[in-house]
Amino acid sequence: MSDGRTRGLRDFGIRTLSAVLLGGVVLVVLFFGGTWGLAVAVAVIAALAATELYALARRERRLPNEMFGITAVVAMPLVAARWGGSGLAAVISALIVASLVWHVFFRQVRLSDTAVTVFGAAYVGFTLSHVVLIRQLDGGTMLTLTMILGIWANDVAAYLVGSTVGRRPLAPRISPNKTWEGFAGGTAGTVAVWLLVGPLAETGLTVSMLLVIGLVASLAAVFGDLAESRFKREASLKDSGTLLPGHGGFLDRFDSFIVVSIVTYYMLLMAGVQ
Amino acid sequence: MTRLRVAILGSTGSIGRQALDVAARFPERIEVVALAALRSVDLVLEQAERFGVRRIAFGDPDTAAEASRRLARTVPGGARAIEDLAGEGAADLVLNALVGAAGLRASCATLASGARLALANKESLVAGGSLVTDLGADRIIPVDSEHSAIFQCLVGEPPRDVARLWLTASGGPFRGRTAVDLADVTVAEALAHPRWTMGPKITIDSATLMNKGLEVIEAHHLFGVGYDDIRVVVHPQSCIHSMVEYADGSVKAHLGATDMRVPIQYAFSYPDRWDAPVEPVDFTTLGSLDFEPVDIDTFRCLRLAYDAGRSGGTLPAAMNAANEVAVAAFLDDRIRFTDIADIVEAVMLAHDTMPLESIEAVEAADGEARRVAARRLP
Repeated sequence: MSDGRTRGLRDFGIRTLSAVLLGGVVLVVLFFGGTWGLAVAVAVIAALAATELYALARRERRLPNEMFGITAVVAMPLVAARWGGSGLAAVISALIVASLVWHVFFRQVRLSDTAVTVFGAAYVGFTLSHVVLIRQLDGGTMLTLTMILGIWANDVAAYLVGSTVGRRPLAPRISPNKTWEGFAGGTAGTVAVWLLVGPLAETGLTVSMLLVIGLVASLAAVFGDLAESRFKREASLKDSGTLLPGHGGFLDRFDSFIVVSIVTYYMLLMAGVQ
Repeated sequence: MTRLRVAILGSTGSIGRQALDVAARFPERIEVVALAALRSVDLVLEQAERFGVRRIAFGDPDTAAEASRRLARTVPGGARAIEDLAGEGAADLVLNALVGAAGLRASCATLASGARLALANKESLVAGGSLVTDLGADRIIPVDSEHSAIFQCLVGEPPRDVARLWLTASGGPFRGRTAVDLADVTVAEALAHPRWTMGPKITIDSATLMNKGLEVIEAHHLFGVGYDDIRVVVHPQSCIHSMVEYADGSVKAHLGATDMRVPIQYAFSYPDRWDAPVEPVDFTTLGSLDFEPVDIDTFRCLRLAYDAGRSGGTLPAAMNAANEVAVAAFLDDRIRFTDIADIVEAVMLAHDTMPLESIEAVEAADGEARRVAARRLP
């Protein structure tokens, strides 16, 4: 059978390379694509993440209406680019109505199936569309960049601190590799990004505002990650205890964005950004 | 008296031949109207001659051509041929003793034709699940000894009063060993079953306990009991063939000789019982009946089966297909005994579970799982 160690190194190389490539594409789109460019990028990423989520649901005996769900997920960022928040509300409403009509006409559809159809679209599409909404705020480009760098810093700092001085497990049953020390490091990283890069957006956010946003964003990133880990764990081979592997990985990679984008958007609004 | 018209699919295998023994004992009660096998042309033609059977079919087209030549008439061949034979409606009861997932279509065709299905092909239910039971669950009579035992324990009892099913397992030849011991097991050791003499594939499945896992899933579909209420217990003497526990704590157990002709005959005679030439159980000399918990950490295939069953959809079909590939590889001396569970688990993790919408969906899942499993072979 194959050598686990060389495979591990090769996997790490591939992961780093693909992360760098993906990061590069996102930055190019952010700076040169305008709101629409970003909306299209979000639509593609969200659609791929949604297919992964629905696959997890199917492993749990649910039958989501993936056609409706993914259509809604693709529509949401695009609609947000044109009509903002009220557009998003309209798409969710349309999805709910369409799902209920489907539920009425097809006898084998159960409440849990319709629920997962709507939740899947909301969990991935509605949340990530808030990146587009942030982009549309004053100084939106820099704010989006700050948010992205903040999440990245959270991962990197948590990993660096956790792997060197990490001792107390954060959530052993959900994510065995996370530690409290890592969490502290990650939070420091995110706050640092918001304090250093945030002012470049020139939106008049005070230091204390940036500090709070950084802290909450960091918490949101960790919760996004833990929630997604729980979903994967539930859909895994429970009795055998073996977890689903990376599985495509869009959901894995963007799980922090899901919670951070909604939380950041509303905090920016509360801080007075227009 | 009108005889029961019986078709036997897989007439040259262990179950098929024993079924013909039963038919030979009761010529006034059973008329064998059709036989099907994969490619044992000599044996099938001999059986057809002995029982006066005109309708025969072979899964292998070349074998069918050979048979056609010898009989100077057309003998159907190919996968569809057996399915068509099953669905013709010429038999009152079809015994599906085919091996592997290929039996699924035959099971569905049988039930769709209105006939009763004596099911020895557990893979039909494992892979097909509700696709099979939706066609007529009340016309399925299990031939597997454990399920026949449960079926008999359920006669006369309202299904809603069932609290739990207890499937007994002999434990296989490696009962009591740990995972470390099992890594170096040879094919010959694995084929030495303590109590039953069966075909090679099922004997290996018995050693890995995947056979018991498939039986758990089969029991879930046959009797509508949830996985949390289906328990496996190791019973080395294999005298008790399984048990049913009822809501009031009462337990019915089925005991009998270790002879597959009994459940086969019961499937033919149900709801009656005919006499059988088996050694009756002599309780005065029986000695002890022992029970032990099953070592689910060492015998990982059983756990994987519970996982697959709980997940549902096409995952059990994928698990079953991966298992067939892995067991064949072990019998060919290409992999170790403990690799079987590894391969099955890997295929299950890689599988994108789809709902059970059609036989085609099941066959697609089966085919994909075989490809993924084959890629993991050295």
